[in-house]
Amino acid sequence: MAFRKPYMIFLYVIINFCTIGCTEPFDIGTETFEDILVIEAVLTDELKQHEIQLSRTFRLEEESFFGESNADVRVIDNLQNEYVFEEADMGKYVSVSPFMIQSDRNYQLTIRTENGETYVSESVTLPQKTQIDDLYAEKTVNESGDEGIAVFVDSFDATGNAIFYRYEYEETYQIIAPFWSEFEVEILSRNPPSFSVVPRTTEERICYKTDLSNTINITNTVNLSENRITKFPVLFIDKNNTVLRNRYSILVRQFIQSRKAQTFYETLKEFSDPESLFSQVQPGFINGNISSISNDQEKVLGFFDVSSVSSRRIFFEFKDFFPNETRPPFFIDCEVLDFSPSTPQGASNLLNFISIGYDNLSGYDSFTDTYFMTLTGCGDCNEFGSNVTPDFWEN
Amino acid sequence: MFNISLMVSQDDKSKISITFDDFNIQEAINSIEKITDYHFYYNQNWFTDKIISKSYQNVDLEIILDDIFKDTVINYYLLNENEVVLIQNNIIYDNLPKGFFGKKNETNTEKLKNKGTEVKPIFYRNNKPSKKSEIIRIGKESKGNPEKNVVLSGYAINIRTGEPIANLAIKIKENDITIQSDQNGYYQVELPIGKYTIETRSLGIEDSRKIVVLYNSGELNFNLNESLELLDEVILEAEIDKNVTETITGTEQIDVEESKNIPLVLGERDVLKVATTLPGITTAGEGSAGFNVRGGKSDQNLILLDDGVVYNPQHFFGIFSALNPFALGEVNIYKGTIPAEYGGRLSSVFDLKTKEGNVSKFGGEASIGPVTGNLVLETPIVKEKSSLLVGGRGAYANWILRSLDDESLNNSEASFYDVIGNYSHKINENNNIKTTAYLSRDDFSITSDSLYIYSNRLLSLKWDHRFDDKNNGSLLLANSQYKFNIEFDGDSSNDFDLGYSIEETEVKLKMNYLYSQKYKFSYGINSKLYTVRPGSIEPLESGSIIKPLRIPKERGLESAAFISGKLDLTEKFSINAGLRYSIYNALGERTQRIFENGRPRNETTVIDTLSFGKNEVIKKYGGPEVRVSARYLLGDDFSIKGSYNNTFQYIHRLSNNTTVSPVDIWKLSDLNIEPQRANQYSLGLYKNLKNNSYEISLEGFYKRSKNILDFKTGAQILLNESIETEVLQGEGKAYGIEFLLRKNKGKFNGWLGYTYSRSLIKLDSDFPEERVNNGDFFPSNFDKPHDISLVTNYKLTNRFSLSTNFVYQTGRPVTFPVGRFNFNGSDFVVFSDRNKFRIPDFYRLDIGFNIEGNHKIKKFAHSFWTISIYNVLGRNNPFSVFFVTDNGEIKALKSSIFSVPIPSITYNFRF
Repeated sequence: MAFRKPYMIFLYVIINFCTIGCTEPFDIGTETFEDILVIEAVLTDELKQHEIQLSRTFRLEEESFFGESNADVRVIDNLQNEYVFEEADMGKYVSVSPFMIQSDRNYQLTIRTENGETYVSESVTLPQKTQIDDLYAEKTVNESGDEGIAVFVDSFDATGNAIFYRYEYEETYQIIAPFWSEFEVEILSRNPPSFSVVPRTTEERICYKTDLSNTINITNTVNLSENRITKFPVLFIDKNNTVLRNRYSILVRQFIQSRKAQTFYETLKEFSDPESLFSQVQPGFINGNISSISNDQEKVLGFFDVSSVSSRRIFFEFKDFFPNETRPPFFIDCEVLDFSPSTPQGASNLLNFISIGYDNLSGYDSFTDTYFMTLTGCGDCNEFGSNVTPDFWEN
Repeated sequence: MFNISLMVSQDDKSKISITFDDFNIQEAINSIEKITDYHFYYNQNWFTDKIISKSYQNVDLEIILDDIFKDTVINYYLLNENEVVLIQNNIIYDNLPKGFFGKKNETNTEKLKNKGTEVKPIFYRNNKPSKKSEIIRIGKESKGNPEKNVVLSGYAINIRTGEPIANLAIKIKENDITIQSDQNGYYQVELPIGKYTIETRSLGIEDSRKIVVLYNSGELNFNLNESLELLDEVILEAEIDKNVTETITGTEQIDVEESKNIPLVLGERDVLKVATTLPGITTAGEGSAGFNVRGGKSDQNLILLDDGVVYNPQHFFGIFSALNPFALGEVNIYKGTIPAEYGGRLSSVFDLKTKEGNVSKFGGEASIGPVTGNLVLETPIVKEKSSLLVGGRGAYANWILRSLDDESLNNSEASFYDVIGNYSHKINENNNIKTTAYLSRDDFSITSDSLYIYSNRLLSLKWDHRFDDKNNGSLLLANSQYKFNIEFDGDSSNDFDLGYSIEETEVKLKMNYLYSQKYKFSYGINSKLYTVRPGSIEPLESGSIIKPLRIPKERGLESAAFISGKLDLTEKFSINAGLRYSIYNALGERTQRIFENGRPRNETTVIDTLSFGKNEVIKKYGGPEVRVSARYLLGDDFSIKGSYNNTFQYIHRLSNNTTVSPVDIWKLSDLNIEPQRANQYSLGLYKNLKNNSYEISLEGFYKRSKNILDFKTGAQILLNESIETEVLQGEGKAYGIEFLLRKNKGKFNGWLGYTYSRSLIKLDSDFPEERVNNGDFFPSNFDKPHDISLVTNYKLTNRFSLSTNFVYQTGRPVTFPVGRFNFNGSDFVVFSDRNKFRIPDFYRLDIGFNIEGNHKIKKFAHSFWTISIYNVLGRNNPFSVFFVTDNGEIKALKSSIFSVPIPSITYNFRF
């Protein structure tokens, strides 16, 4: 065969390697904007003052949303008990009195907005409650190959009725200011600059920060032989994440929800997840279970659901999993600068640096009158959290 | 029987009086020879058993011959004053019709009848005359011709390509003179009058020998075959005026051989991609599988390979064809009138035929390109009777995925292959069999823990039988399967293996009856059994807690009877009328849920669940399908045609993606899902110019369809036991006008197509949850009103040609976000009504440069290089626009498949 040197061919094949199949940002502009009422209402079987959030859609380029104020919000059960919600904050409505969702009743949400439109939800019932059997953290490697700690949930429902699961979590972590000292600088005079070292008055070394989950974490047991959730990964924390620098705690709340609610969350999640290059799920408007009475063409976004909830908290520390490794860095780079205000130039430098944020005294050499200064956050944890210890905190 | 009465009129020498009394053709000719000076040249085997009884008084010979050869495939030619040459199929023309080259290479008259085409003059390529000596007389013998020397001149032309043959050695044996043709194939030689044996010889060109009796100066053209060509390779070009004279509307033929010049991505030849440059056939985008024909969904095309169905004829998300271009012989696409013998899809039939192996010698064709390697071999098994063709193609495509600028695809892998084989056997004059086997498979993994596999399998066996001159038929047995598999092997306990398959087995009997040249009929029956295994999920390992789940299989039987006739009512007016009656039975064993009437379908409105036993009929659908078209000739090369078609489709592809994905499942109609139906009307004008070198056509269509499948927003399709609660069935409406200007001949050829069309869908219901866009018509995902394609090919020399392909299309509709909202602590986008916006318009220019290998003496193989640049303009055509929520922030992204010029080189050779 006249098959001569096929490999030669490849020498001529010059392909630009980086740009076949590019995904790049795209500016769609504001073609049209639709103003739609958004309702977020998940009531649980916990005895508490439940919250319902009403807001409006906002433009793509806008920063944040606006709450829907002055609405009349109430939940009615099939025994005609009415639970009235009152606006506590812009668009945030809180039940006037604490109550809990009961498993043998139907609930319906009614909203009347300021402009007179009335919206009602379908009637919903509480699904089977199921406990979190175990919540634990393990050292793992995620899909992209990064090392870290993952938090897993185990749960089992012997009744076989709890099928759709949704998880929320609250991370709380300790923040210890690395350059905290017992003293602080007092500016005695600005002109000419003069300083003195005085004892620190407030506890600003140890703080706590709580972050709420903002992703949709759902799973189900539809295709499983029993209603068992095994090692469901709720969260992965990269080992270089600052939240792991000091003691860490996570509270996981497991919601058992209806099939319809699951579909709603799944669709929401699906439309916001990165897609494959070659196929895109057909997006569209997501219908929830709330509609307008006065105008059935009006779009309403949102869902009213009652869920049974179970929660569990664990504590752990970086060294439990990575005993011989350096813990993650602090939030900011803490560079220590030294100043000697004994000269007018040094004093003026110190004053200038204090004014740009180097106002934390991490050390003082009284022999040389040298002030060791860092950025505020390196010595004052209130920059990142709150110095009030949460009630649940265990050391 | 031999009761001959002859009488030759003495008054007028040229007039003949003769009587035939139950003569066959042979006897009739003998008697003419006896009473006149005419001498006939022919081959007795051509004659049929036709009996002639007629008497003539003082008529021209032509009138008698017309009668004798009427309803036969024999043509005659009055060569000289008293010589008549008979040719099977052929009429000998004094001048070649412009551009007859590349005419369909059919020698079997039965096949021509099968195709319902008229028996037209056919010039052989692979018959023997060019090898044998023929006696040719040039000029008239005139007494006392004063010229001693006369001039013989003419052109040497390659029959296959229509190109002149340069440097053809022309040897005049008697005088031992050898001359050469020039660059234009022209030659000229001065000779004394007399009889000569002229032999020709050239590299790559079949040798020929002609005996010439030269009386006067004259022309002798050599129309020669390539000797290295596979002689029976089919060149698909219809009769030159077919587009005008054919009765049915909306047909396209693709010249498989010519398609090699069209530049395509990564140098891959792809006849289906070529199809998309013709009006009315589009794809949703560069990286989307499937075709949209006249505003129809991509599941509405019946793609047949040797009469077996191929469910997914594409590899790698539609970027490459899964059909081996070297193995394909003939491609016909019916987008307007669908012949009555085909059914089961609404929009079109892609009728692809593999070529048959060479029955006389071993040969092959191979190519190597940046992505695939391809080899096709053909060999005779029993010389001149049977042959085998096998082909295989494999891809080394992994490097493409790795080079994709998408982090999620960096670890991905993709490979594919397809193999094809066919065996054809000519048992005798009346019986032929052909069997074809085909397999294609794709493996790809986009993340490291999942592997997708999909494959097509096809087997077909066809027996053609000729009963007599008027009746012939074929019996077909075909089986095809499409399946895919998704394996998920992560770290956790829910590893699984998920599989889907659809299989169909068809038996079809088709008969053709040639009542006369003017009235031709075909009729038959077919039946098809579908088996769908909608999916199963199995735990991969013992630790997995995945519950094995098998959605019960679905079965259906689709049967039909059809009859159609092509009736040439007058010279100008011809009708093609077809009727198909199809019946579909959804078969058990299955359970079907009954939903409350007047309530939306969901879990809570199930009122009953019915169980059906094995083979019990769950539901029967069916109806008549009318396929009528008519043509009226407004002139010799100008016609108007109209047609009406209705079609049924009993199987549906379920996809909730904006474009087709290989893991979309097919679903059979059942109690809750009705068959799709469509009605199409079309009307067109067809005109050929300049002796058929230009074809112009303008065709409009209007199509309405019912029960088109779509989904509720966010529906889950895979492994859904109650898919009917997610399905919406709506109406479709498509209309458009298609313009095509094509130049077939000459150094510069190609076509320009422009289509204006719309494709709309309406999903309405009494219930908001089953309604999309308020129940109004909205553009489908592939609605691209303006579509322009320009394909050109310029032959610089015999060896070099330059081709270009330009495409412009309106951007396809997409659903954009129209705002954001905060939910669950994150921002999400709220989407507009479906397909309210469009992505930017698409355009692309590709350039290809083709180099034919030189014709060195004794060179074993014929080589062909293609150097192409895809997307020369580097246009970053967005394929889709999508939105991701990343850390609570919304980002709009656009993806494109090929955003820079992509050069490639492919090497092909044939031996």
